[in-house]
Amino acid sequence: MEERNKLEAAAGKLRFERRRERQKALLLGIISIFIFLTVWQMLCTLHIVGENVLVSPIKVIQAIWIKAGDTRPDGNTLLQNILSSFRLVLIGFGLALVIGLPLGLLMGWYRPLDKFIRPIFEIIRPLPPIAWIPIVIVILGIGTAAKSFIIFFTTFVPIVINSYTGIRETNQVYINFAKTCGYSNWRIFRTVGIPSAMPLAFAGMVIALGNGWGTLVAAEMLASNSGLGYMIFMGRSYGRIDIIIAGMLVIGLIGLALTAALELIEGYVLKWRIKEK
Amino acid sequence: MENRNKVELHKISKVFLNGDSCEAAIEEVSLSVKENEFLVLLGPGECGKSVLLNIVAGLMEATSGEVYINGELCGGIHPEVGMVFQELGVLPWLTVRDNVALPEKFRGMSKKDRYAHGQEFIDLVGLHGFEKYYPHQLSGGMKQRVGIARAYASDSDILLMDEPFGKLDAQTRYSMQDEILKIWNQNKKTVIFVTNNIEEAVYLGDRIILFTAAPMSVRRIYDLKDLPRPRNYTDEKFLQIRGEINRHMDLVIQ
Amino acid sequence: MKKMKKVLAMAMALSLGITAGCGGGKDVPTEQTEETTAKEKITVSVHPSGHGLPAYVAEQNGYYEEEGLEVETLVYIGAPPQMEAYEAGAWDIGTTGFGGIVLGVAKSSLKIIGVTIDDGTVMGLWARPDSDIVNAGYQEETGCYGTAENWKDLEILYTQGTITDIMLTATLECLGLAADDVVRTNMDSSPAFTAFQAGSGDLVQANSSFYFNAEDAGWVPVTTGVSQEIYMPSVIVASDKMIEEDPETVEKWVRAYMKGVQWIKDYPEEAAELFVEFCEENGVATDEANALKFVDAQIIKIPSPKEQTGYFKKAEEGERTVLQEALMKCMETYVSMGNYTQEDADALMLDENYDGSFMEGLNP
Repeated sequence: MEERNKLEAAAGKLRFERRRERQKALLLGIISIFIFLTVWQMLCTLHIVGENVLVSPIKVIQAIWIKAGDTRPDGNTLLQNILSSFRLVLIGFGLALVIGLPLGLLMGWYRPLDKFIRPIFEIIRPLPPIAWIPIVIVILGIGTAAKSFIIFFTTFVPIVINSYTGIRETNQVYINFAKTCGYSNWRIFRTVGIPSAMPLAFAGMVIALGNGWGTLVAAEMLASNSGLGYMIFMGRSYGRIDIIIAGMLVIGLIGLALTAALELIEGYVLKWRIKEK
Repeated sequence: MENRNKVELHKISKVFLNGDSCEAAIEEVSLSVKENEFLVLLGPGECGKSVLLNIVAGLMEATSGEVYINGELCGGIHPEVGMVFQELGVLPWLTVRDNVALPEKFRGMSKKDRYAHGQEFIDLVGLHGFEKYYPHQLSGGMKQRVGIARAYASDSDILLMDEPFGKLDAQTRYSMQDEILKIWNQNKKTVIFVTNNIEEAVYLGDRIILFTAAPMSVRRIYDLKDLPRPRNYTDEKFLQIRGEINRHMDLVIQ
Repeated sequence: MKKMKKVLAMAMALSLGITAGCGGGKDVPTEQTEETTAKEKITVSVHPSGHGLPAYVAEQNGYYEEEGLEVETLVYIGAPPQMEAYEAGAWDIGTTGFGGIVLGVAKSSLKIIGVTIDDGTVMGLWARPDSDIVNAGYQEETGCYGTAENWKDLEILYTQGTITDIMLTATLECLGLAADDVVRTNMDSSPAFTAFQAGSGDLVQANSSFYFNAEDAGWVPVTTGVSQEIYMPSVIVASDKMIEEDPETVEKWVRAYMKGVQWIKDYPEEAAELFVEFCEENGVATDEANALKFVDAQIIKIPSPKEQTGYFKKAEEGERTVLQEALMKCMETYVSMGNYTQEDADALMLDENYDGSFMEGLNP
């Protein structure tokens, strides 16, 4: 099949070019991180910045290394803290997904539901998570439920908004076609609306996960005895700058890993999309 | 055997509300389509042909007038009516064979049977081997063929085609015209084909209904049954008919 | 040149006029000449608590004016932000609690030049009146309510890394319990109070101004700094730089501060009123009745300059001063719990971190 051969030749060339691009990007990334670390180390070694303000990258790595097995000064090892925070975010994000995704999709498809829920949603949306803390303490107490709620809140909003927008953008032609197949509105929602909304919905999930993971410090501020945010607070109380920075670094790296994992899943589920990079 | 009218439109009118003002899109159009004939609806762009087609398909409601299918009054989506859209008519998240199997889903067949049934039409349109491909991996012409295969697979007696080759380049367009005639010859159905291209109309149609610009009404009807198939673009008779339609169409585009 | 002199003179006049106005109008603006000395400008930092009150009094009563000081006061709710500001060079002299002592003295360049309130006097863990631990009653031997059984697995809402840790550890030791026999939930004072009111937790910390609020709420202090015999001084600190370059100003401020202390002892009711003002300006809730109790319980007991000189003296060479002993007792607990290291403790004990000369200078 001539057409198929032509396709494969073109694909091969594209793949090669793309690999080159990726290598270039990777190299640039590595160089920038290297420069950043060098400047940081210099600032500390040359004592341009005091030890009680900034700690060198080497000390931070040391802190991470030691904290992996040491429970001081906050009473948990690094892994215990990571797992504790992870649990909070998982619960909050999971709930937001289970509630927010269907809600956004249904709101986008069924007008009456949209009109009903919108006002409440728009009022809640702009509230910063920290503002919720006093109310949450009184209603939910200070345990996992309360802290997960803070995280639920920051993840819920982008998921709803994005799945809503995604399904609203469903192409009318697809809907028309499904109608001519004799599908009911509900059937069209499931077979046309939902798949159509998935690219944007996933984008919403990636944002939500980033938000949620970034909010764990605020959530743990409520009341904790473990977690990465808690570890940072304790570092602050005990004057351990190395632990503060180590905590921030770990939070950042894990956030990166989570986003990458989610995008991998997205790539598989949405393999039908035209990739324009 | 009685050569009954497969589709009949009786004084169809359509008015759109545009803010405060009313826009008449279609004005009392009446026509009939014989069984298994290839009818072409021709008119200048934006004159309302698609609207008319949507009404027949049941996607839009006529402001007044009736649609009869197989002699019965029809008021919405009809299982005997299938539609081929322009390029976007193929769902991008389904493979070729899933797309072709779509209409059947409604009829409650098992997956295996659906695929087997659809395979026949995938082969018919010349896409054998591409069953598991996703639309984004196909060319424009191939996507259209998927749409056609799907419409055929749905076993509807009446196929509506809304400028299906409109987005294709000239080369692909010519080959698709041959394709569609070939398929139609192998598997006779009643086809209502919308286009704004005179050449295409003369090449494909048993009959051509020429419409005016908006508000749309029937200008003239051309019967081309005497023009032998396969038709030739450079044939004298072909060019003569084409010229005649051209003149009348010119009058329409004021 | 003549024009420049005129401009300079006008500028000085303006600044003198303004600062004179700021001091409550007590000073009559003097006629300025080029020899007039501008006031000493210093930045002081305190907490909105018992050890900050004398500084507030000094400001309100014009003692700073009398010393020729122009003071900007920074108020921080806790030691970490206060010490972070110190690192950034925001202030040079002030008062702080134990957390600040480690962060600022052991780990940085502040020196202790005096003591102020004893945090141990108004410090406690509270329980709801109907709880088991309260019903079990007070035990003389352990200095707390309830037995080890009552205490096991209780959830305690408090701020970790503060003096409450010392009191809790002392209590657990008396009861024969291990550190993780209780559940520690880290919260700041204010949200902890609210949460406890809403029903969360079994015990809650309520120190300083919160102490009497807890009393009002009907809660029972199941262990206190007093019953556990905790002596935890808050201190007056100054940067090594300021002590070296500007000791006269340090002396002036300490004098103004101690004048404030004396005034509080002489006029406790008026001091209570000022305390309410001081707290409210900084977002801490209290009322007059509690403020008076607070003044009586804690602030009146601040040692005089003469008494303080004794704190800085060593009985014999090679031994620790009274002050060092007191601080070391607390440090040992922290080191054993793993919060601070032995290096931190050793650093705190260095003699160079203490300077009793300023208190001596105040002795008539």
